[in-house]
Amino acid sequence: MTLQAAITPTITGFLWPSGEAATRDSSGKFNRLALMTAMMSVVFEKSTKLARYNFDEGYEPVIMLAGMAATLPFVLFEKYSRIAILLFVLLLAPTVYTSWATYANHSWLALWAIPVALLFSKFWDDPLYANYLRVTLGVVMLAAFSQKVLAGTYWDGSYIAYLSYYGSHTERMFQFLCTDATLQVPCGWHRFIGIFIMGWQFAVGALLLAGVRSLLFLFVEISFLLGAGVYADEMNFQVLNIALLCIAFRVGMSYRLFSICVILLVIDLHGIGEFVEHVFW
Amino acid sequence: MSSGNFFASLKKLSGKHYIIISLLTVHTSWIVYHMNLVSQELINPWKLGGYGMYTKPANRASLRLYDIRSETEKLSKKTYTSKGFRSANYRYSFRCRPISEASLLIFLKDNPHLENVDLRFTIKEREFRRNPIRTKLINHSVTEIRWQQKDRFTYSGKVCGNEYTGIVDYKS
Repeated sequence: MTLQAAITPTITGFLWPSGEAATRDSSGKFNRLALMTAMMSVVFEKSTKLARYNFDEGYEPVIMLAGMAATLPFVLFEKYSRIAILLFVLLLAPTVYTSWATYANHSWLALWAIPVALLFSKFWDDPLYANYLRVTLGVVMLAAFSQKVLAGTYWDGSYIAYLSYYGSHTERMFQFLCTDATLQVPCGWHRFIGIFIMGWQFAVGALLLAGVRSLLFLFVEISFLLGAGVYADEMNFQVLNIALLCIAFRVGMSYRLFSICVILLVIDLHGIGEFVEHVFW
Repeated sequence: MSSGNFFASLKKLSGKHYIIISLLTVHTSWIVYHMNLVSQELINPWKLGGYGMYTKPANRASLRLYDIRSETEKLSKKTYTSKGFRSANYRYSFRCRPISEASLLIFLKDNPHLENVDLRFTIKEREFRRNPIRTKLINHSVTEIRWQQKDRFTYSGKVCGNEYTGIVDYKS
């Protein structure tokens, strides 16, 4: 038995409904749960912005957000899934129109991914939608890699060195690897981390485009996304990515993974750094 | 695959396939174009859907306002609102876009107490520097408005090495 054959069922069984998804109906349910999680990440992202909103300017954004949140449970039901996605997209549209220039990249990814489900009467059953998400995520990974090459701040480790001294609590986690001299010339460790991140993004992008759908690959990628989320103190984008990957790999999302994602989204409302400080200090 | 087979396989594709292929093409093309704009430093890499976040520290472009009637005095942010101005300038995501005339009018409408006051609008940005590695706050663009008479002002500014001027008839 190969190492992969030995460890894959153990680690992937925890996160994917392989046993539960024996029937076609239940596998559809877990794909709908994954899309609902992707939509939920959008709602959470918008709600963090509302915390700074001046309510003297009207309650429309709150009503829109409440409406978007209300559509989420209906995505789970086969009968109402498509109409729930349509309502969600319609409620999101005014925000896209008014604030597209300030949209974060995860909001853009959500826009390229979620409304496209409307093209399919049963997105959870259609391999074309899964393939669309797979290629989209592959392109996004290669784009992130290319932007880092263009900036040149990962090749030389300067961005990792910068974050290690001027970043948030979690972004400083690699400070201990080097002395202050890294701010003059980035040390070997910081250069290594920068190059490793780039290499990883390139490899994931290439494997997604090549159509690799191994559960072990998915597990490792999700673990990396979570690690990156902790480092950057930004879980929203990671949850969106994880949810879309679950559909792209056509395995859906288990209740266990869903619970982890919800917890991460709630923690993300205040930031992991603040959470860690509150719990441990 | 021969060209004949290729076109035969294209004919088998459904409308949905064509839509999906079109979306992927548009998305990929935009990303490539976005990278081109970033390489010329024309846009903020964190914005506009090119997945260039975390490549550099966010520039956190923000407005500083100065009263230049006599002695240049920085105005406290509590004394004016810049939300409409910021939105009209797309939150400074297009880095080399001049401050628009429309945004100046919006600013004055939002802050009527600053009508007939000569003002300097400075957009500050954090710039990533090496040797040593740090960020430095720089004046990215400067625009001044000077009132010629009660209902008319001129503006002039400079961004990314390009200068711009204009005259505006203003009705409060």
